[in-house]
Amino acid sequence: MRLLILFFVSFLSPLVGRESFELGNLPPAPNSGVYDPEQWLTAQARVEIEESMSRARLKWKTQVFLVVLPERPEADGDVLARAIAEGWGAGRLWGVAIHVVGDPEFPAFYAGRKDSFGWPESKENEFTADLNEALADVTGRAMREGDHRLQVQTGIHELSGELGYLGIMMSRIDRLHDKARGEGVKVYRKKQSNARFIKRLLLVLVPLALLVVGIVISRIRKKRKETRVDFYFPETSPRRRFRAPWSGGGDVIVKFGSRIQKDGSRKG
Amino acid sequence: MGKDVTDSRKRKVYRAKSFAVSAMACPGCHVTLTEAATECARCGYSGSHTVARFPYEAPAMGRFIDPQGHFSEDDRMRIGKSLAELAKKFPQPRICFSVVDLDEETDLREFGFWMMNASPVPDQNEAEWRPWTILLVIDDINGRASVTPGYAIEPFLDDEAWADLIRKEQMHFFGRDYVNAALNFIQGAGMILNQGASRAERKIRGNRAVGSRKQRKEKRS
Repeated sequence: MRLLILFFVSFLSPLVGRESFELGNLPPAPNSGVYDPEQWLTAQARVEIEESMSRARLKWKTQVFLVVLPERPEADGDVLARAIAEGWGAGRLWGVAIHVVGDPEFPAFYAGRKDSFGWPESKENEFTADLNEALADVTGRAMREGDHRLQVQTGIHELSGELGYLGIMMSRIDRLHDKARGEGVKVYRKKQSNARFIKRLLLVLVPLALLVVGIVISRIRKKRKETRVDFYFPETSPRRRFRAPWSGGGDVIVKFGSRIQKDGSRKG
Repeated sequence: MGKDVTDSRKRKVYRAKSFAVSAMACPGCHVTLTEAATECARCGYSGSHTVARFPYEAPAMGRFIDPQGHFSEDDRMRIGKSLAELAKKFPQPRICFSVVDLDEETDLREFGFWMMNASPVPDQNEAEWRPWTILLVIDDINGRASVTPGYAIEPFLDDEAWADLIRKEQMHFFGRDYVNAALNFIQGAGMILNQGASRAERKIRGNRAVGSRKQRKEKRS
């Protein structure tokens, strides 16, 4: 009975891995970050690898995955690596090691980042260049090992370390960028506030200035009228009445006091 | 003055009614007239009534008609200077001061009307001055004052303003200080003339605007 179970397990387990690992239909993300359905890694190597991955994830917020496949995948390595990272919920910076058992062209190491961090373009480009350089270093160091298992083990260790360092760099750039942006926002807000102040000031000053100009103009006009010289009234056709040649009389009479008394005084 | 009036004749002659702010009144019964008439429609008053009312020769119209000598030579000089200042601004009007003692029954307005018309006009110069004359008659004995304007200046003057001016100077009039009363009267007259000038300017400007609008309309049609 035990032999029968062993037979089924050894027969089915490769099938499960092979069937489930397709580009469009990835298996669920492994908790440890290591996908090795055929238990190709030794227990000791797996522990060390998981430790490196865990350290990178917890300390530097960098996700590293290892996928060990029995057969070469149909998709290109970098495409598959990105699909794995995105499918398994990697963050802004990730690394993927793919190994195909028995294939001399593997293991292969990939690293990537979110398309944009929202930094200035020069910083983004610089960071991408650093990432590629780090990846080349990782691959170089891993391939110095003579054994595939050691290559994978060293590669993951190096990849975690390099990505961890880049993660620290990323956080630092983020902070600087945020600070710069914050200052930019401050400057922008100050500018806006100044503009608002000027607008308000204008709203008050312009009518005030118009009022002052109006007052000044009216004063000048009044003054000019008061100090007018040589004003000629227009000629009018006289309203002759009562057969009077020069004047029709006036209707103004004011009594300013009583009749003068004999002593020359006047009563009010 | 003569030259100025001649010049003004070349200019447009406006209807007095278009500037007038004060109503015309009958010197006999003081009823307000709506139209200039040869006789008052109410009391039949005309110039001949005045001649009958004052059957003596009117004095010559001058700056001072002052038989009692209320104005000394110095006073006349001071007032003359003030009048000269006013004439710089308004060359056409002439202000004359008459201080007389009248019967209590005599209406001062009618007396002013008689003075303005019955006073002899010996030459062309006086003929040109007379319509622009503003006559202030002070009835010294009865404590009354009246203003009578000539036809030419009349449309630009406001009767109420003259009355206010005399009331304002009541203290001098009451105290028989006719010199200071006259000096302040000249100052006030300047303001009244100023107001009249402004009204006239506005009116002329308004007329021009209406005229140019009419012309534009006619051109379009």
